[in-house]
Amino acid sequence: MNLRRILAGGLSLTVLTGALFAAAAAPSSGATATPGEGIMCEPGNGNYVMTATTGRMSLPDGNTIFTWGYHTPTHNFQNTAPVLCVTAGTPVRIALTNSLREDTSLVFPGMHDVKADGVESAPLSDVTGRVTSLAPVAAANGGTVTYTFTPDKPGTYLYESGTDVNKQVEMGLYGAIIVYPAGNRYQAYDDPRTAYEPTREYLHMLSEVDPDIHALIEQGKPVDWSKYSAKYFLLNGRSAPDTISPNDAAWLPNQPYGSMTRVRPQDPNGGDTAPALMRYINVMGEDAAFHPHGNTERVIGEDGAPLDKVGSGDKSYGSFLVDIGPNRTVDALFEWFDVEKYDPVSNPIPVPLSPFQDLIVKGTWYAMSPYLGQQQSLPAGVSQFNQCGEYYHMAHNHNLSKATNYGATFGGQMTLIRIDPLNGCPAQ
Amino acid sequence: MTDDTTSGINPLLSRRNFLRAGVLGAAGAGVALYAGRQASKAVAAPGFVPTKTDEVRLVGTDGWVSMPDPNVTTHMEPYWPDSLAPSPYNMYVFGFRNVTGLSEAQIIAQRGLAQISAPVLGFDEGSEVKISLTNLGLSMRPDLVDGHTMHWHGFNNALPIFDGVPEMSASVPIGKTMVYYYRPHDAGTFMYHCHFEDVEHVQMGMSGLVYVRPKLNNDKVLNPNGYRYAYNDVSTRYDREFPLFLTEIQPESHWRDAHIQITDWAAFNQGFSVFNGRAYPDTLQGDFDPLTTYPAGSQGERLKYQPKGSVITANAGETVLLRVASLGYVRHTLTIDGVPMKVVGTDASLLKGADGTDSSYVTNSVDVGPGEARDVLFTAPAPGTYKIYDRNFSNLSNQGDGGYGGMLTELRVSPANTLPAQAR
Repeated sequence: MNLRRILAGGLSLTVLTGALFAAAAAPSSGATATPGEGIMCEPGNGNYVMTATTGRMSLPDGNTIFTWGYHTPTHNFQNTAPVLCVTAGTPVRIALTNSLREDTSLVFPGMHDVKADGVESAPLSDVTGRVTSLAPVAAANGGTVTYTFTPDKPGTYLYESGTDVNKQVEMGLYGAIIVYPAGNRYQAYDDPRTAYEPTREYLHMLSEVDPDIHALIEQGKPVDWSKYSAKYFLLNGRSAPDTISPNDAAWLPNQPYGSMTRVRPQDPNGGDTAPALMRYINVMGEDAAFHPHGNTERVIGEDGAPLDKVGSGDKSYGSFLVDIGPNRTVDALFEWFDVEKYDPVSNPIPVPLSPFQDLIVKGTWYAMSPYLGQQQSLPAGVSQFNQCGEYYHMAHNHNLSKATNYGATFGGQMTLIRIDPLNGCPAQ
Repeated sequence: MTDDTTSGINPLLSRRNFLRAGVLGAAGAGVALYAGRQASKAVAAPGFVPTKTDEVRLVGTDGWVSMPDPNVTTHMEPYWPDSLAPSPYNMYVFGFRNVTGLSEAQIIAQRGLAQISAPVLGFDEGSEVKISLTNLGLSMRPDLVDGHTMHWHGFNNALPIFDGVPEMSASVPIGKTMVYYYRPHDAGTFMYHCHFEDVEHVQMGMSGLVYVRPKLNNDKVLNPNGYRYAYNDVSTRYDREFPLFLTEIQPESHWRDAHIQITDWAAFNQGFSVFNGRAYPDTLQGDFDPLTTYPAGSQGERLKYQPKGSVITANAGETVLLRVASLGYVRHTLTIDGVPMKVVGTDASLLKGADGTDSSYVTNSVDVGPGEARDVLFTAPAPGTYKIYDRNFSNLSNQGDGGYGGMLTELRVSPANTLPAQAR
């Protein structure tokens, strides 16, 4: 019944078509990652340069919002901050320049012995002892500061502004740090049992935006934070359905990170042989209730600490609802089994399937056949983004008010899980 | 009806399932340890022989229910009580009804008679399930052509066609029926809900619980006494089970749907926090039947479209399984005064690692958030009445009144061997 939803659908159609073309260029081999999918690491190999600045982000309903983010060697402006992929035991250096009209800084929860310009990074306070920043700052209008640390524990971490935190994080100054085990790029932790399919590593960073507050800050007006009311809900800095567009999609120049997940059935004969690794970060002030359709995930670590440690037993747990507390991170494994191995000839689904005229077929991602790898012709009037009979499942925040764009359903903190047939999708 | 012993399922297979974590843990190496826990489900097909077939007929439609209305100070004008509501009801809802066994004419007559929460569904691991969902349309909103779907929340290795997400498959239009087919291979407490315009249809009431009972319950070799278990694990034995399904109802959104107004579904305006679709003190009323005609002015007439009560009853010393799940927006913290609770499963997964490490825990506060499920065991204490409630006390009032309401119910313990065994 939602008018906004219909409007949003129309506006996003060009975006989706673009995504399809981009995906169609993907190689059919399952051995390599599909370009534009998965975690896109900031180039720099432990040595990063970024400038805090202002810009704009676009939402699927056509809204454009003033926001803060970073200028980097690869992007004129990006929201969120660059994804830093580093290695345990290898030093990291982040040179921050500030072009904002107020001080800013960075904090790295979970990291030890962080230094700012060579001295311990510690909170600043004024003459009365009141804290003014959680870390030494890059001063307003061109100041600089360089942070250095050596990560010691593999896992997923959040880094964010440590200055006027409530405001600067709301405005977009946050990002992900991924620490890989030394010598084991395709394990979540040092434990070999946390190995994942090398091409199947995904980031889901959940945050939200109150557009009124962003407008007040753009206009230089005072903000009453007790009136905070988020209306846009982001995954990796985008709202659904933009979340399924590839990394660095040309039509989202300031929001480079997609979040669509792709797997194949677990199968030694052509499928995935290890799970996908899902890295969750919650930047919101309340729990994120993320629900992957399709299968239960196995939570193997929280806040950079594995749940299956030598000597303490395996305390990992199954979860069809991945709960990520405020400013916490969760690592989970996802896999999908073609348990029933239905086949239209040799093993048909045991109930009659309604003809299309007896169903509402919105079409978009459904292959019109329930069988993996099979497609059927479209009913009249239905457009479709399915390539080769692959399956799509939804993954979304189950606080359903946050799976919307300003209340319009099928938006917000939502993305798709794509399950390709065993032999992959032939290039089209 | 058949059971494992007559359907030719090798008891050793059951035994392996029963011990699967340990067996696979020993046999597996490297990544197989994690993958193997899911892989145990894959042994079923394609030679799968269901132990039995369950057929359920559900309808989706709209209707009216009655929330506690003690006095005018709790009113939320103009949204609640709703001026369009027929007496004795006061709030507009969407919902499912279980119409299995009714004639087509009787089924069509249920249009406009939805219930909240949705009927509790219970199936056996290893069976096959056919759920026919008929969309009866919305009696109050002939201008809408909303579809309905069945989304089995948490079903493992789901097929999109039976997952109920309209954009990934199909939904059921008004006047039509679709058959959803499932083979549950995993025990635990799940949920189901409509996924058509999910934020609206779930808030309006189209959500409920699904139980899957483990194979061990019917295993004559491993379970010769016919005990009942939550999972295929002897540590999860119980005597009685009860549903505790948590949602929060926003009356303003319900009024807006009834009065053809647009809702901002990104906003959260809490009104009633409910167990099984009812707010205290209605939680203390018994179960009613939507098809029964109750005397005018009776509780049965008022609550027949919120048919499930929430009083937990047991004999002292018995083990009770609370099947707790939430499809609301916020987290809840359940407590039973003075009674330790043991959480043995979360999200239909036994809290046990691949190496057999027991991660179950004893607590006085069971934490459950949106979309989550908890399987909770406790031993019924000395005879008496104990309160069960959400320790987030803002959920203990109806519409912000000063009294007690919302997520509050009772555990009533009888002397040992007083109550008859719970029917299965």
